[in-house]
Amino acid sequence: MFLTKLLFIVLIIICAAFYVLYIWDFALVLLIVMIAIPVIMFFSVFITKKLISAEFALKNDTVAKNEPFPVQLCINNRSILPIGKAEVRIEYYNLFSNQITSFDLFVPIQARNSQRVTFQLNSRFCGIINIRTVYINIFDPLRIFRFRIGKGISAQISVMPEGHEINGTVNYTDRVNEESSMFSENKPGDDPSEVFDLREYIPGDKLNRIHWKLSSKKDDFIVKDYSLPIDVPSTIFLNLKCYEDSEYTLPVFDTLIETLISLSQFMLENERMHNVIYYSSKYKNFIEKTINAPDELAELVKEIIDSFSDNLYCKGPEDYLYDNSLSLASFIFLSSVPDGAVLPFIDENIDADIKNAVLVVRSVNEAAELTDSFSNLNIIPVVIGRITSSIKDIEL
Amino acid sequence: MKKKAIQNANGITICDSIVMSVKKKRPNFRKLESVLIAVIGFTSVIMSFLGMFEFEYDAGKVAIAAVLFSAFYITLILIARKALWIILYSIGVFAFAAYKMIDKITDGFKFVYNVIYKDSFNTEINYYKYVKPSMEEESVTVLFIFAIWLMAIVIYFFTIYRPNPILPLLVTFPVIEIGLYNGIEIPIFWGIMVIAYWLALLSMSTIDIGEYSGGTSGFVRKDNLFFPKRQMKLKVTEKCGMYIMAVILAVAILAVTILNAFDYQRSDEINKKRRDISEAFNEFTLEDLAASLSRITSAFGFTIDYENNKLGNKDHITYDNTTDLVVTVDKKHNCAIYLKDDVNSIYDDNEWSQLDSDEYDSEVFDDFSNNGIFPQDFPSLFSRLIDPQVNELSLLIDSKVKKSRKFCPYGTDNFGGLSYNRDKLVSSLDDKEREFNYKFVPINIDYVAANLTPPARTVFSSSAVSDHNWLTAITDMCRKYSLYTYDDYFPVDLEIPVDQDSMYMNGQYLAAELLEDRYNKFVYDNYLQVPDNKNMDEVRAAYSDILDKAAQAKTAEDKVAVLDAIRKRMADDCKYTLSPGKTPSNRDFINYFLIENKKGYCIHYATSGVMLARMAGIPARYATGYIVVADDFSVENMNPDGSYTIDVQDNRSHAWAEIYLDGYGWVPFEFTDGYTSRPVGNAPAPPEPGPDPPRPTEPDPSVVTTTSPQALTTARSAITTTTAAPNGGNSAVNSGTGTPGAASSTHKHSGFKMPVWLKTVIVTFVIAAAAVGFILLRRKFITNKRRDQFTRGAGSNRIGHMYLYAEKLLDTLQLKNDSSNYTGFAENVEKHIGGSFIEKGSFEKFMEIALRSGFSGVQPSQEEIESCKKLVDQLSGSIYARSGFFRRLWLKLINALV
Repeated sequence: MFLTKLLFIVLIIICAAFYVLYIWDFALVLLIVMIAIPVIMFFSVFITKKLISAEFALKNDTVAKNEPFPVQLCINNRSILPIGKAEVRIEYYNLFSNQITSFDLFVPIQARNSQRVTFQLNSRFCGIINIRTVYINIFDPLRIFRFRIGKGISAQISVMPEGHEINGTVNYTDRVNEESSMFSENKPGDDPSEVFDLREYIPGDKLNRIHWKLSSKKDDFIVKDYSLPIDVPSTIFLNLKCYEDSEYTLPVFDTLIETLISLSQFMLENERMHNVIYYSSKYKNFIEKTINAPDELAELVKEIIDSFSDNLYCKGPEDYLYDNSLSLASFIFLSSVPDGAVLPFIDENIDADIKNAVLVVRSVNEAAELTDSFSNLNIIPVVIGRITSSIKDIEL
Repeated sequence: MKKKAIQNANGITICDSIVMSVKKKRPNFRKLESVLIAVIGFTSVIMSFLGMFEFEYDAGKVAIAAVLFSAFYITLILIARKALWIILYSIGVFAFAAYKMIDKITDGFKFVYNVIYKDSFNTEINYYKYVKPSMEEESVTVLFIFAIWLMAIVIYFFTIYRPNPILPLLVTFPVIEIGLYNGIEIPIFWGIMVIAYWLALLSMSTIDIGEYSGGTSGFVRKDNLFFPKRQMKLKVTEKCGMYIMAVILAVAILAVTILNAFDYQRSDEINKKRRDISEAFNEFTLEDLAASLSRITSAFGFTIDYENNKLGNKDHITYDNTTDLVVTVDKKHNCAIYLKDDVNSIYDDNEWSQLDSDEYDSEVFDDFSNNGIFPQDFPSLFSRLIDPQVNELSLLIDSKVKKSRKFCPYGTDNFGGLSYNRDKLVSSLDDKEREFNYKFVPINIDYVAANLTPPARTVFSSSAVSDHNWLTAITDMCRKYSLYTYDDYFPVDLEIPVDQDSMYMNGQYLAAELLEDRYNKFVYDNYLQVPDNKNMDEVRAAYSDILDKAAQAKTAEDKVAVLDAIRKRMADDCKYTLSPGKTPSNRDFINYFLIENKKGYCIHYATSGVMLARMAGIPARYATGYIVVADDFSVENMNPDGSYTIDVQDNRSHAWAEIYLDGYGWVPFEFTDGYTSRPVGNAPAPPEPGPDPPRPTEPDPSVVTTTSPQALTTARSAITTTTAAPNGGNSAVNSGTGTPGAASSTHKHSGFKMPVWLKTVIVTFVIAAAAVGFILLRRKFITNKRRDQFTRGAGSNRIGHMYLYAEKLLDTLQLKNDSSNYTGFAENVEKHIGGSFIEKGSFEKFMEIALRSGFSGVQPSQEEIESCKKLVDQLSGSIYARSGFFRRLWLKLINALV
């Protein structure tokens, strides 16, 4: 650009010298033309700059992981001057990561028309993908002058995480909400407030379970199965605090969220309703959500992802756990490897029948390094991207 | 957090394919547009060239060939793909055909070049002889067909298929430049279209640079860069080229229309500048690079003070005919007046230089300063000794040249207010740096020489000196130089017969004689130096007949006769010319002039004369300055009071010799053929016949010479004024851009002559349109800015802008907030216009919002902002509605408030 400007200045000087040395009118006309051209180019592109607008367009607000999604850059030019080659620089990054990728795009802009440039992105991790323009440079046809438009146009899309199969055991516990009317639809229990099922007598059944009325009608003993109450206080505490800013931040976070989904799905499959506690950047506070059904889980995940801002600020778990006493049947602490005394605190102070600390680690080696020296707390390391193989026999 | 860019480390990948689509689908005219640009370029180059010269050729065949080649190559390039191979084959066919027809092409080239040469140099001579005129049409036609063929290949391929300006420029530029360089007129329209084509091509190639061909859609990925393929249908490369062409054409048409309407004529100053530049380039030489560059930069207007003092470094000299000095003399004078500004004494290595400053440490110079009598005063003092009634003239010099140069005549009277530069120059101590005021005694060398005798020792007595003003000075000098022989008697060598009593009464003359006696020795010690080398020996040998006789010259008249003999010999042997050529760097300047070249001008004659005079034992120096001749005292230059004001032009710059007459001082002596220092007309005749009438000069063919009328038979005081100008012309316009002797036809513009009143109307209209345009643009800018200020940014800023706007509106109603009492101001406003211009209470509310948002930092709500906006809109609308027509215009256009 500077070279082009310099070339034109040199050309004008040459034309001026030519005008002095050449006596015919052509030299003067040429000099006038050469002086007028940069002026006209400047003003025409300046006016065009005012009449060009750009924006991003996305088909959906959310997309699944590893699913390509189209992004459109729409440039509308209301002027009569076309732009031969506009230079666009676009950045995209995951809000949960500090790594930005950019690419350059040379695009012609037609006069009095609207054009869309469609490119496809694909994210390996869940999170919020932010796409923005760094600049859109437009030039005059001779590329003497450059004007910048469209700085900071952006769009966002949420990439939703996936759930994984895990194995484990959901134990019956006495800590039941006795006033609750939620019972298992699949398994019997010992709560006499509701009959789960009626069946024939099997030797060994308790006599007080015999439904005498029905049995009198049938020539066989009919036994009542009581219901299994499922309103058991279970909590998953999701610690979203980032302890280390590195290239693993995003994979760790991705695994964290998917582990939450996997655990929650597992619990729902086992009819164990539960609460999920997490820190919301949006509300700047810890939020507690009850998950009874898969759609509530989906909603929760969306809320968690949408609540994140660019600075990834999150309060630590100690800010909640130290101030809140919990009495639970099952407590799961889901986090990347924390620092401080959080785990010892959980081990000693959280009142729960079963306590698990599911910690997302970078590698198998790091998993092996995790010590399980706690008396009441099970440490379950989850390697990035290997949720199923990491959580094989969790007890809840 | 620190952000870094790492490719794909964030897990996001971008697919390789990018697609572009447009809302309004339009037909793809890319190819058509590129064809149009190429055809315009092709046609304009041909028409420009043919429009510059008149050739003999078959226009029909050439036109058909142009059309066929254009159609052929356009078709092939549009088809592209394998058809491009045909282009390659056609290049082979072209080369083969050219080889086969090389004779005709060569002949055609000769005929064409003859035409170009004749037009360029305005001559009827053919550059190439021995060409058969009968073959001209056929040969030129063949040449043109092949040239068009080549241009078609290059232009169409590198415009349509692969826009690239390099080869088209290489092929087309020489075609145009050959005429432009030689100053041939080019058809403006076609010339501008060629320029438009070049710039359009440059634009297209810049847009497409680095892009890949192949395919018509999609983008190509190269690392992190996506760019469209060259042939992508949605590209607008050719449209940009067309835009450039349209802009250039529009500007050119407008420029030509305006030039024609105002009957534009090139100014003489520009023509003069062109001549200067052409001259400077023509004189460029690597041998004298510094001076050549200095001349070129000076021609362009950047004067670098470079002075090359080497003699003989110029091939010729030219004059600008500018007035360098304005000289006013109170009486008519029949001798030349020499105004010197520099005197040099040492000749070495083709250069004159000053005496070493050590030489001036002589005691005699202290005496000069102590007594206030310098060698520059000797001629006037001793002239009065010779003739007490001698005429004295007053002279005023108004210098137009650079400040450091000071001029003085010979024979100056020291009436006070003079500054002396050793024994060389005098200048008047004037308040103004460029004006010099003198009184001087004209010097007639023959008269003086006739009145000088060999030195006669005369004894004086200090006590007899009756002029007490000088007694002390005289006695001091006598004591200093131990002149007293007996008692208070001291000898003085007098060359002028004088009455002793008058000397006693006029002590100044006695003191002057004493000083002259001392100075005489200094002169003979320092101003007889001749380089001791073979060159001078040769010169001495060539002039030995004169120089040998010089040894016998005893009196001043004898010495003057020797000098005259030298002058005559030089006039006989050498030729005066302003174009003598350069002195080769391995030659001595004097030797080369006197013995080999025998051509020169004043510098040559003066330098040689000084050396020869010294060889003859006569002290001499080399002086430069200006000369005013007797012919300048003409009726045209006479003033009502009898004085004469003479414009001394640059062609009067001169070099001469000054020789020392014992007992008198330095006098100018003219060695240059055609000049004289002697009086003419009614001046006292010299005691002996003067030199033979000099031969008239033979001007160089490239030089136009105007010679002023000859004077008397004894001497010619005519000055040959020469201006170097191309043959056939005067100082009028030359065509060409650097070729001497080019066509010198003066360009006459044959345009429509517009009446003055119409010009005035048009100018007025243009000015008015510009003013109106400015006002409208300004208003648009201000209103747009105001709209942005009210709608964008933080709420408090928006309210702030609205408040300032409201203040300006209220100012038109003479409601001003002179103090910072905003609440009081709001009350005042409500009192005056509440309920009429605006809703009652609305301005107070507005003020409250403005104060709150401005000082408390609380951002206003959207409703508050809107209410404030509504108020200012209402206020401006009310003011506008209640204003008269002119006030509305004022508010709208000048104040831009509504």
